[in-house]
Order: sequence, then structure tokens, then C-alpha cells
Amino acid sequence: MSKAPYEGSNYKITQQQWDELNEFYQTIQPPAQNELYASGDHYLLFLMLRKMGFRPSSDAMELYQMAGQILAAGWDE
Amino acid sequence: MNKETMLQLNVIPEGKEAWLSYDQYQELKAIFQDINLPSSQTTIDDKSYFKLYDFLTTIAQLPVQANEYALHFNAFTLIRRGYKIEEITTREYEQLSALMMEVSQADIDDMELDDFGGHRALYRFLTNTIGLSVKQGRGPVWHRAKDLLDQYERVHSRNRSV
Repeated sequence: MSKAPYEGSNYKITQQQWDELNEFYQTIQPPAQNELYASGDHYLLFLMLRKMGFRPSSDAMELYQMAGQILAAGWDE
Repeated sequence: MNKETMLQLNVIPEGKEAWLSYDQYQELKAIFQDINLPSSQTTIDDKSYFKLYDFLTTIAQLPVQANEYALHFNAFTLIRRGYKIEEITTREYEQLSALMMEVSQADIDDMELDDFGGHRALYRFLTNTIGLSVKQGRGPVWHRAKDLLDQYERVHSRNRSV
């Protein structure tokens, strides 16, 4: 059965990280199925999540979905 | 590194369809998954980057710079481009569609594969019947089959509109 990439995790980022991620996330588009050029946006998102301690997939669709789920989970109070 | 500087490192030809084979694509993903984040814009300090450099220059035939930032960014971008999906016949398409109706969607990293059942039947069809390579696991099998079906539909819808 398919599950969300971030499903089941209790880890939450700090408010500062949340703000940084949210600000960037709002500026980028969801990845297209067949993208034949490099926008750099999803790579920067990948780097941002790695630096926050996550191990995101190199698949841009899953990466984007994961970022959305991290934001939806909120920050650690 | 800002986005503009990063994009200057890009050597993946814009508009070029995927050219890696499925096996090469899996190899690249495995290398990328294990590699540390880049630390140098001028050299290769981490030895795992030599493997990536070898892959990108020899197998993918890309004129990428020998520095960690360029290698890491181009590897990600090449993964984004995907792999060259084989074309299947109409008969194979029909058989594959019928098999896919019997299984549920699996997460790409679901590496379980029972000896019996729908995903095993799909795996046998892909490997034994039509002779394609696919990683063992419900996820890889389901996604490989979906790619083949989508590719068939893309090609045939293009042909119909010509």
C-alpha cells in the first residue's frame, strides 16, 4: 500500500526552520511529471531538507510531498 | 550557493529526453542516496564523489566539472530526467494492464515481494515474459509497470494525433 513519505514520523522542525522552509516552499511549483530542464528549485528543497536532518528521496514528487507534510506537522514548541 | 550560480553548473542538455537505461538509473540513484552533501566548489574531497564523477562522465557522458557541488547538482538533475522507458507491444500492453488491475499501488521503496500473488506475477511478467530488468520489490515492480503503460499510452496517443 502506498504511504506518504513523512507518515509516521514524530519529528518536528524548529519554528525558525519552519519559517525558512515555508518561505521557500511558497515560491516553488510542484514538480512536473516530465521535466526536461533544470529549474534548480527542487534541488534547493532537497538540500534544505538534508540540512534539517531529513533523508529525502531524490524523487522530486516525493520530495515535494514530504516538504508539505513537514510543514503541515508544524514546529516543535 | 545561490540558485543562479548553481544553475551555471548544469551540464544536462535542456530538452533532451532521458537516455539512461533502467539499470544505469538505479545505479545513479544508489550512488546519490549514499553520498554526503557537497562541501567543495573547486575540488573533490570526499572519495565517494569519485564514483559519482566516474558515472556522470563515463556512463552518462556528461562534461561535468570535477567539484562536489557540480557533481551533486547534476546527479540530482539527471535523476529528475528519469530513464529511457522501453516500448512494449500492444499485446504486452494488454497483458500488463490486466496484471496491474489485480494489484494495489505500492510505495516506490516497498522492497517486499511475496513468492505468490499479484506483484510476483507482475515481476515474472516483466522479467521472464518480456525480458526487462526490474528491482525485486512490490514498489519497483509496480512503478516499472506503470512507467511502461504510461509510455505506451503516450506514444500511441501521439501517433493517433499525427
